Amino acid sequence: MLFNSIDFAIFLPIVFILYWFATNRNLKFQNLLIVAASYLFYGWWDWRFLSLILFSTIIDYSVGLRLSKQENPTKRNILLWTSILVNLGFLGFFKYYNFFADNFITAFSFFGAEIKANSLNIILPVGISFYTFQTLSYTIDIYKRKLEPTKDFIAFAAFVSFFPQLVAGPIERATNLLPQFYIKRKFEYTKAVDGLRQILWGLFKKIVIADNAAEYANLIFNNSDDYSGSTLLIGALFFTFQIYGDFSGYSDIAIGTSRLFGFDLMRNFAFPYFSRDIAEFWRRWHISLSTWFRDYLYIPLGGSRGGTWIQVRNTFIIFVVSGFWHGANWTFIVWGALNAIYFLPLLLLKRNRLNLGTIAQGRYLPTVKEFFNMSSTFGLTLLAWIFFRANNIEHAYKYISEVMSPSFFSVPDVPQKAIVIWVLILFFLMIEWIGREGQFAISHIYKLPLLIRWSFYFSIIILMFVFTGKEQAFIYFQF
Amino acid sequence: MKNFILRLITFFIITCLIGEFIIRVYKLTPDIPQRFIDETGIQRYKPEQTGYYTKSDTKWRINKYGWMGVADTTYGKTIAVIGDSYIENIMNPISCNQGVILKSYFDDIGFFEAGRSGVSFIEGMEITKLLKPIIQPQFYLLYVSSNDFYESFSNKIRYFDRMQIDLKNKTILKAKLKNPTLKKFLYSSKLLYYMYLRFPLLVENQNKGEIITLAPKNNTFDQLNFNKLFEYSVNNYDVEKIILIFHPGTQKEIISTANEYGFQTVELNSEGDQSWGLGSHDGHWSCYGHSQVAKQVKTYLNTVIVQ
Repeated sequence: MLFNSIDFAIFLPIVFILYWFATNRNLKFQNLLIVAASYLFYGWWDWRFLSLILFSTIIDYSVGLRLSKQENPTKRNILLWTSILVNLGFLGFFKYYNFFADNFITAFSFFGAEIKANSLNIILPVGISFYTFQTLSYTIDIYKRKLEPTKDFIAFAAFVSFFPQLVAGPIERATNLLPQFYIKRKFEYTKAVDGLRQILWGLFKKIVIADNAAEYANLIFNNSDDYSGSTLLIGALFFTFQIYGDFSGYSDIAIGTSRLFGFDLMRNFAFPYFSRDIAEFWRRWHISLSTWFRDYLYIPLGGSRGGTWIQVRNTFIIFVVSGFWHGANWTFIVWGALNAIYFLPLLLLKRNRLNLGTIAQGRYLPTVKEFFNMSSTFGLTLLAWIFFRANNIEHAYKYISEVMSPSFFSVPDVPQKAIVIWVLILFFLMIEWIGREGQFAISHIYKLPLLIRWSFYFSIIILMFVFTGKEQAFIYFQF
Repeated sequence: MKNFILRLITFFIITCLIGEFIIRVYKLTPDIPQRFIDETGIQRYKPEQTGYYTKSDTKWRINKYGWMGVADTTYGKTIAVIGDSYIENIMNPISCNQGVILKSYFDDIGFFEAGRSGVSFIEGMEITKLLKPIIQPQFYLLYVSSNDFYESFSNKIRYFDRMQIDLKNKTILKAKLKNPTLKKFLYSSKLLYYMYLRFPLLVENQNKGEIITLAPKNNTFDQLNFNKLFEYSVNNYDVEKIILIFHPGTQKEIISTANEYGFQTVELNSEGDQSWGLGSHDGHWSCYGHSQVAKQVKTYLNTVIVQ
């Protein structure tokens, strides 16, 4: 079920009413309703893959209980690796089987060996990368004795399958989300209204910014051979805003929906395109994934302790794995590696934690230096997104070569209608800039008088009616 | 909670009102004309209705014959353009209609359009019979896809709102208007119709995603049925004057069978050009798509028209 569908618009109020009016007296029933609603939400897409979620839930629930009772280190390791292998096994099979099989065959054919191709027609279950990492965090935290396992299977099943964030995150930690299922939720007016506000902003990002930008990004990337360097640059810019509007829009809707049910999810985006360096960008982009890799991969590998070589190695591993997490394609791996190359100088010069606060805090405009840093970071990110969006490495290489050719100085070949989209993107950036110190762009609007506030909401709704883009699936569903 | 629900309902009502207003001002949905079923069983529009095309300042008008589009009968030679919603083309301005574009290629020929959403192959054939005494066309261009044939067979699925043929008894089954009151209500509320078009839940979304190729819906080619259908056509209509214009992706077996029974045929070729369609949620041809279609039809007409 898509957040921007009529199905969800019917589903959400029904679940909301049942949650607060029919099951609110009993925590168990409330959690059970969440599980049922979440399974319906997921099964709407393909009910067959519910078995994967259920299996993963049962395995991690059982492993968690056994881990807490087990003191023998070897047996604890076996339990931990059981959970890791089951979860990553599913992920590996559904997401990476064909990639490894194809590359294996290519590698052998390079040495003259003929191997018969045996790729499978595998459907990638939506959200598998997200809920797999979420359940893994539960087992690892218990193993590290940071978390007590739950004995409440329903609460655990609700944690694994919680519908607002099941298919595209934020990837929640058991330490944050699971305890929220143990306590009775109370309806809070401000929290619910804030949630609705965030949903509205998320829908605007998705329907107006991402879907409209996607139309031109797809057109230009799919026909890149026909366009000049200047047009290709515009195509890359469109994709840059498409992916941000799409993914952060989804996260906003997910967080806002959770708040309607009394839950607080972690923040996933913090205005990443206003970052002054790549390190700051990665503290602001897909925060739930970056911190997951930091806590469960980077730190166990030694983090930034140890010599320069260890630091370089760990940085490369985390970025390349992060790229690979996005999909079984070399383009994602190169995208990750490129970000590692951007990040390394900052790490080695110990300048990776220079910009921890918000840009131009307490001011309307950035300084010239801040603006320059922000623009150059944006430029580097833009270049990396070309690899992310390209069909293959060769496509990305040709695309970038054309951007850097003399045709860069020609007049871009973009339809006039695209100018309207740029006006909308500028409006969007302006609102994001004004609200950059809040949790989301319009979180501070509650301070304004009701009339102004509601006028703003209705203006957003009008823009959604008039400039609704051609409906596109959320990009991160494929990951 | 009470306060929250009350405010939410107020917000929702205002949103609906604003939505209705915005959709009307910006004409985000087309106005839909009302239909009637004539004595021959063909669904037509009530004459002299007017309304707006989507996102356009120009109005459509239903002519006295009950069709939307051009109805030029002032020339000695006339060509009829028949088809479903692609030919009716309410989603684009009239300048993108097949009749208008084709007219720009043939100065001395008049074009008469008879397009309506939901026209099956057999209803298209019946329309040729209806038009014959009125305009005596030199040719009938009937635009069809695979689905239009399968929807003609009543033995496959009986669509009560469409004209079909009972191949066993060789009789035409007339259509009935489906939920006219509900449709009137739906079309008069622009917001509801907008939501219906934008989010086609529970809708027979026959055009959703069919951008280039109109792939048949689980339809397996049945030679026997097609033989009977074309045999009936040969016996009851002016087949030698009918040119079937097949959408890209129409089943090859249908085209070859039509040729065997003496139909003139044109197989449209989009060569994978995605811009023929209006978009992912609407597979109807855009103005660009219509111009490409008309070019291919023109090429064929040049070979058969005696100037």
